[in-house]
Amino acid sequence: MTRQSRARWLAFATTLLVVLLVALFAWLRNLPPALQAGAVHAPQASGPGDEPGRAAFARAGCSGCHSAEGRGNPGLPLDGVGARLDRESLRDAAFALGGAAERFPPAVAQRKRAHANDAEAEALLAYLQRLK
Amino acid sequence: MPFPAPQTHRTAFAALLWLAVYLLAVTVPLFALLPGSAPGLGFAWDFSMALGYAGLAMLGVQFALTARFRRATAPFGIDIVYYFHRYLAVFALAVIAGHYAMLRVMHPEVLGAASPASAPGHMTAGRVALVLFALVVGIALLRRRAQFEYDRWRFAHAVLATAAFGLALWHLHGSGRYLDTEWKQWLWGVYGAFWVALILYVRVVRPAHATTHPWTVVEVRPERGQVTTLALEPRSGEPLRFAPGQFAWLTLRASPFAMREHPFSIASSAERGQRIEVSIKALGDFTSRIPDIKAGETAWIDAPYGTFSIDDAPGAAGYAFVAGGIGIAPILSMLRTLADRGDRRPLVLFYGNRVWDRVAFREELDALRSRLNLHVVHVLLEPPPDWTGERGFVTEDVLMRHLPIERHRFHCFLCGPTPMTRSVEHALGVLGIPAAHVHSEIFDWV
Repeated sequence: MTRQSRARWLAFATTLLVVLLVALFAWLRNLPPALQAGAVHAPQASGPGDEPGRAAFARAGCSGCHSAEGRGNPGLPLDGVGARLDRESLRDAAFALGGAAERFPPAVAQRKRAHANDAEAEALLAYLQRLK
Repeated sequence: MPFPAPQTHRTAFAALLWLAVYLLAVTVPLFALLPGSAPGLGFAWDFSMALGYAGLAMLGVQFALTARFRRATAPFGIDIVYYFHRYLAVFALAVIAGHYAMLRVMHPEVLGAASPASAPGHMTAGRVALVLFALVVGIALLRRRAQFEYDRWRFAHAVLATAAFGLALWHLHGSGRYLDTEWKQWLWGVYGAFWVALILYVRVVRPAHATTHPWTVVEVRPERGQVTTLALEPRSGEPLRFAPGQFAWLTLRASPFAMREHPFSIASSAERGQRIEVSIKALGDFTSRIPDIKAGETAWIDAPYGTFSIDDAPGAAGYAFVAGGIGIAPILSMLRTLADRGDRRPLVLFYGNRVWDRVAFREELDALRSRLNLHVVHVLLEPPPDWTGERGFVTEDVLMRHLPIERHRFHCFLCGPTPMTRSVEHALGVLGIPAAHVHSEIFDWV
């Protein structure tokens, strides 16, 4: 085996070990019962009336950090948020307004605020409120 | 696990130790995120996220691999480390592409809009970083075929890789859900900053140190076969301590900050470190300008590097050398050193060239025979009509005709074009020389 092919195998074996360790990390994180998207709160089946709100949710990029109805980033599920918060609290949380603003890192708060005056803002809030 | 034939158990141990250091450097920052973390979100989700973290860490270590840390490169040989850097870049890119591909397939909505106008900055940073990394790897692999000029490529390579790494760090800090506490953000902030600091060390601090150790070109000597020998002396008068066969990074007509250094074997005797010589064949952009260098010019040297040396196998019963063309340079250093040391062990040199007139150093090799127990076998591809010596390539038959019976106790040093090295390595194995006794220097690893 040439020195070059030794280096190739060495790099391949090392990468394989890294990937195995990554798998071990993922497995260890999920040793306690995993919080699958919607596992805490079963996603509510939604009706056709939710379409404008759902589209607003996608367009505003909410799925990058949140999931709703089992879709999107499972790290911060929003299913059930409509039962926990009233319309005004939802508005504050969704657009980082009022006292809620301090709960978010500045970059996140800025991204949220940018959508506060969207034409679709009310449709989005109505959609979130129906996530019960 | 296959790794370069170690000469001793100690070298093997050192090689394994450095591999362990590599794995720790890549995975410890990831595993440090486990304590106190929120529950997992399913194996596939966490696997895809962690691939991103590990991929970024692998790319961080890429900067260290080519930073020429002698202790880390010694057990493998720097050529192996550079190849390792090259292949690992491809695999690290695959790891990062895996991170992206898993999300694209499983949760396309998480990726959101691709347009930079509507996507959050950190997501655009992640996308651009991925494209830049692919570009850096692609260009590096195609460099030779596309004939990119080495110096320009090297500069662009460093700048693009650093920019991509910075963007990837931004992406991680913007979207990394595992960095959910202040100390975890700090940990990955410092970890990323460490690699950036390393780039600064290699590109700024080390060249700054080099500027305090200038060398002078004291002689420019043309040799046969379009080879030019440069003799260099340190202005400080402090001799360079090196092992015969090692190489130096040489900068000429440029500042040490300019990233215009090129690796060349030292051809002179290790017993004469106060004046070193490099013998360079005109093969590329930089090397073809060597004959224009004038005595008195300033040179910068970063040396010594490499493990291709008789001093790595001091107990051998004898040595066999196989050189192809300018591959003679490190071997000449070993022969000159053995002569200066008064070594009388049996030596055989197989020296392959195309034509007799262009056999560099043939007169000196003749002269060295009186100071050494040296048998020189010239092998010519296009011999003159009256040639009675070996012809063609350095084959198994040629080796067998000239190597002594006790050849299995010899150590063999091969330096030349890759096809020659490959076929001679194979032939020596067939002739019963243990693989651990065969040392080869890759010619074209940069």
